[in-house]
Amino acid sequence: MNLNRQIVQMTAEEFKNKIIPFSRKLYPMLFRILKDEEETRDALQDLMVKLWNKRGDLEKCSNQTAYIITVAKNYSFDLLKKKRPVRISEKEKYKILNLEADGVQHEIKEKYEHVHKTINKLPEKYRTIIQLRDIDGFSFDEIKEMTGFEITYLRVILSRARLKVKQEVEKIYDYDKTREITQQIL
Amino acid sequence: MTKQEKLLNKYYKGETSLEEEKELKVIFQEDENRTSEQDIFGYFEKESNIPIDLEESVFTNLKSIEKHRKTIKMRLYSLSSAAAVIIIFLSVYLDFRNTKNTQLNNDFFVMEQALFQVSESIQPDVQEEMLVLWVDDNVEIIIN
Repeated sequence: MNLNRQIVQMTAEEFKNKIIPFSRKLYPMLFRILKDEEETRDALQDLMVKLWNKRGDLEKCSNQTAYIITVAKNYSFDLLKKKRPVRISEKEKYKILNLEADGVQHEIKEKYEHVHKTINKLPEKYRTIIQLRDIDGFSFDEIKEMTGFEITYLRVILSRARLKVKQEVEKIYDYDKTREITQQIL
Repeated sequence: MTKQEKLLNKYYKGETSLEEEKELKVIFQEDENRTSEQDIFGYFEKESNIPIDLEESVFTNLKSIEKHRKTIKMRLYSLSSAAAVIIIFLSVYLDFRNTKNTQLNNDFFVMEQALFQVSESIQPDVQEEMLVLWVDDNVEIIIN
């Protein structure tokens, strides 16, 4: 009996080494939904508690990554369902104000904002896949688990999404350059 | 073609590994030329930025939640054991009182019986039918 329990129950140390590192991967994904650091932390905490409570199942599971991804996916769907209007915390507000005060930062922020908008304008499938890969750093196996698409197809979509982003961002560059040129001429 | 260009080509074909993508992000962060990739990778880096203490804080909170839960469990255990003790004592006491009561009842019943018998025995005999012929201050004539 005692031996059996030892096999099934994951220790806190094992959990820390195997499961907690997933919080790094899951954080950006949850942040995209919640858009607030505090809320994302809370959500991630909640998710980890869920996984901790299911550690018995988790230990028995042959593919732990897939299991965690599935739990995280369902969790983020729940979050999306009950998402409240975005609330900007005091800290965020302060950050935004600070950024605006700083000229150089502001320029970079604007550039990133363009990239952000470009990605958001992509069709949903393209957007999701490029976000999961290039921001979150999920492997193709993990993305397959989340989206249900085959890996070869994922590569194709990813390639198209990346090219599309480059193309769109460079359009803005050209626009910037021509504006510079016109300014120089004037 | 430089290594960087090769990698970038692979990247746009969707064939780079995660390690190669990390490498690309580093390369372009250090690149002097302003290219679209620099902003795109810079954006990815910014978006994937996570609080430094994230894992540590998640784990410590998890432990404290677990601890809290354990103390609640322990409290529940001690409460339920206290309740169990109280119930045991109560049932023993009630049982004791019950037996005492029945004993008293029995004693009472026996006493009642005895008293009944006593009263029975001191009861005068039932008078047989008799005929009173005459009752006077001095004389009483009765026929049995």
